[in-house]
Amino acid sequence: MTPTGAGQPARTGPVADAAEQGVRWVRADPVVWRRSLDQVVLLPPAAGEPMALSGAAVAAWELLAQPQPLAALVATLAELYDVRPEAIEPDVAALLTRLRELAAVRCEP
Amino acid sequence: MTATDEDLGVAVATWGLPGAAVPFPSAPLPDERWQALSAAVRKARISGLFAGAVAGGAMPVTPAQRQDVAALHAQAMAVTVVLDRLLIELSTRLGDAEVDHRVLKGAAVAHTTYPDPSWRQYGDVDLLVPSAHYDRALAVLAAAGCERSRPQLRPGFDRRFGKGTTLRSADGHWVDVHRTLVMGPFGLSIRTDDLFTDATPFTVAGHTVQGLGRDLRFLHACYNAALGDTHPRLLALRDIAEMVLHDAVDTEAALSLAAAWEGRVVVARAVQLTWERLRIADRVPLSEWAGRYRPSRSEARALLRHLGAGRRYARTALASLRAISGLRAKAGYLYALALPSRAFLDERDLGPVQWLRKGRDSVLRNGASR
Repeated sequence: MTPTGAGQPARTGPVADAAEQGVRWVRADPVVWRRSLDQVVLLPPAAGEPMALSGAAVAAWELLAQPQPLAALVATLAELYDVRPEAIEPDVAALLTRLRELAAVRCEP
Repeated sequence: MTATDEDLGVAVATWGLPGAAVPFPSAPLPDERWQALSAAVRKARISGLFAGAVAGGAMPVTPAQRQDVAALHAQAMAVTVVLDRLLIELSTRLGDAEVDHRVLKGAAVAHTTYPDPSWRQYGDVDLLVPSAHYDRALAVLAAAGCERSRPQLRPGFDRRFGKGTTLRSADGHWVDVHRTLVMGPFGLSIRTDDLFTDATPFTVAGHTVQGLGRDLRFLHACYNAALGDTHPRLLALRDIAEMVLHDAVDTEAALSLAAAWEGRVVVARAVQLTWERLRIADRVPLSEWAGRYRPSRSEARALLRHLGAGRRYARTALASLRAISGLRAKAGYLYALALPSRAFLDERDLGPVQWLRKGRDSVLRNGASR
């Protein structure tokens, strides 16, 4: 099982473009997942094996039950963890990029 | 397991149930006891309840122990999400081929009975199909890469007389395709059409599948617990308790159906075992009924034949013969028993004469034991 936290280096590109266009992010339907104590175990359509989310990625996954723009997601997580939004935005963007690559999340207008 | 270890197992198995009477320890367990409990939880497949008890604060743990529980449960959940994906694929294929089917046991119970599906782990996919669709279902699943794990007695035997067939998926997971709920005479007495009169839809990753209707699901849980193993698993008993205490089973309807299936003794045994072994304090009408139930002589004999020492093949076969209706069907059953297919015999490394001798010896032993 592949662990994925929220400590990935920032990436530019698709997520930044999406933020500019004001699109919203949401969990994709065909993702099988379970909550497991302090983790979320999920099997996205494009993943060959299950992966685990931990730390703030779990909170992000829970929030992504509802469509929301990147900025709102970042703001909520920042408040939850008592940090400045700009400190975590690159990590959140990286997480969304990875989850979208695996078809675990999708964008909607 | 020592008596105290058993208490801990029951405490975990009954976490979250009203009337759960076995307490958790008041402090984290010492190492050796913790290892024993973790091993027991793993074996009993109740890691979901264990994780719930830890997350909810009922089970005190050290940070290291919490990590153990997290790892154990995450491992179990990794299996269930893979099985759910397989279930979606197989259910879709069956639906596209217009094969009616129901999802049974683990996946269905987790999604329809438990407040949180992560409380209920499972290790395979269980599907029920009508006898009339059985061969077509197997063909659809074969096209999806699911192969029989063992040959059947004779072509058509499983569809006509068997409980079902076990297949292995392309990536090595077990898929049980059921025709009825249990093997032997109890299974043959079930009116399999009844199993499709009702359904409980549930969604898995946005895909809707059908489980058994609520009362049928309860009956299946009873058959599984009362007849599946001589000493039923804690998880099987927890399923029953969850259904009776949370799922509002229609007692009258369920017992009426059980009566039609000649299975009231099965329900009584299952509920009695559940209340006794899980030590549930709350009494409900069904548990009272089960506690008062006195099986008839024929029911007691039928139960003993099913659960009796060694579960002798001849005894089960003869009892099954009595449960089969119609001379032609009985003849077909006997023919298959006497003359199994070459594939069946080869898989067991037996010749036809050896097979017949085994059958003869089993019949003689059965006669001697009466």
